[in-house]
Amino acid sequence: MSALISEPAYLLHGRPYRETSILAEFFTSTQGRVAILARGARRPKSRQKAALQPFYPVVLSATGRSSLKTLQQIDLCGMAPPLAGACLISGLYLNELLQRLLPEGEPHPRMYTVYEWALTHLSEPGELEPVLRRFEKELLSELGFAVVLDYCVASGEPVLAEAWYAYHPEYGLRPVVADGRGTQRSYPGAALLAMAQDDYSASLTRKVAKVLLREALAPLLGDRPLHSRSLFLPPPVFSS
Amino acid sequence: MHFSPLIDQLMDSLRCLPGVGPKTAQRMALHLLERDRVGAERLAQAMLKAVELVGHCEKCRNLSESPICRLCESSHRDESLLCVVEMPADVLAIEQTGSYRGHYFVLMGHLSPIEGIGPEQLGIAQLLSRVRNSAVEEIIIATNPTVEGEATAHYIVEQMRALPVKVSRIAHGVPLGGELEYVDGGTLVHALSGRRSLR
Repeated sequence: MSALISEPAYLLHGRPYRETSILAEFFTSTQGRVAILARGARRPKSRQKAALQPFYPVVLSATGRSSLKTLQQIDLCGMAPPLAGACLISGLYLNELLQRLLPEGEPHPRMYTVYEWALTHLSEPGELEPVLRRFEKELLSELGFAVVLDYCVASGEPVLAEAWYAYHPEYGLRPVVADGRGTQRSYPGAALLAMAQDDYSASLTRKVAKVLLREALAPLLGDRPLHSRSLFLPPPVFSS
Repeated sequence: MHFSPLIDQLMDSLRCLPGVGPKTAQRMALHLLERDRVGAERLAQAMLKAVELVGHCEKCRNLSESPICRLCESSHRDESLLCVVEMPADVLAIEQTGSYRGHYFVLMGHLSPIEGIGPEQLGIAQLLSRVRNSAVEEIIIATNPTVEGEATAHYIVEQMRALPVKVSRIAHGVPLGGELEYVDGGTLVHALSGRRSLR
């Protein structure tokens, strides 16, 4: 790990540290997830505060040889995409995924591009779910846990549109005889093939993708749940 | 250099205060012991009492030693307005302006998935039941203009969808006496999009 010089990055999360500082986690373009201490960033006149917000593209310089670096300079280099409402919470979901799953200090330049792409496309109407699913899929393959969707890894047989398949995080897809009503969760082949093509136009594909990717991410996340998921729960219904 | 164990212990304890490092802690401890023992005793008692008795107001969740705090009990406040803020310090800041006469609800934080702070920790259910069971007509969401503050605001709005109340968000823009040249781009965008017509 070396110093960062004029490095494009996004803030994943910042928390108050001591009296006036912020302990921030950035997703940088060449060094992946990096922890950086922004000294004095919470002082009333600090000019760094506006740049230390999630989703804003920044360019930063930081020094230090250990895994915790010290922020020297940070500048905004563009506007954040107009994330509001559900898109904003989805953005927080992406950040939580990266923060939980990316190992610190490991370069992931491809994932950085995917993250940038996801942020700019989240706010487009009707794109929320496809963007989240493609992001999850890319993240899994970047971490070495790619979900193979067009053939069964164990047998090498191609996935057929009319058959049903069960998924196992270690062995991948395997055909099941049941019609989706068995004890095990199973997925229709047609939806899996559409997912392989990143075609999320059918609502069935979107549903299947959500459940399948959640199943694939579960072993990586362990027993700590993702908190941003609970923010999507529908509002309570009041009996008047 | 080490003092006797009791003095060391006092200095160590003083360091739990924000902004107090070893040097300041030493100055404080020596001052209390050398010059102001009466003050020290008063401080100790006040602290003990406050820690023992101060809890949260049942209505607004603000810090209070009585079950219902003075602001919530006051008959001079406007029952129809409810301002939702993140921290007790925000209540003080708004009260000091003297321009708001309604009630408050203190979340004691903001939604932060990465830190594991969700709706339960913020008492959102309590806020909803308060809105349902009182004469509140307008909710003013005054969480901070940060990403987490905005997410909290959005979450509250979503949860209130079924309730017949007006929900508004405080405006944010250029600070008083500020110069546009030195204001950051994000604030300017908000200031422009939230502009007010003058005629």
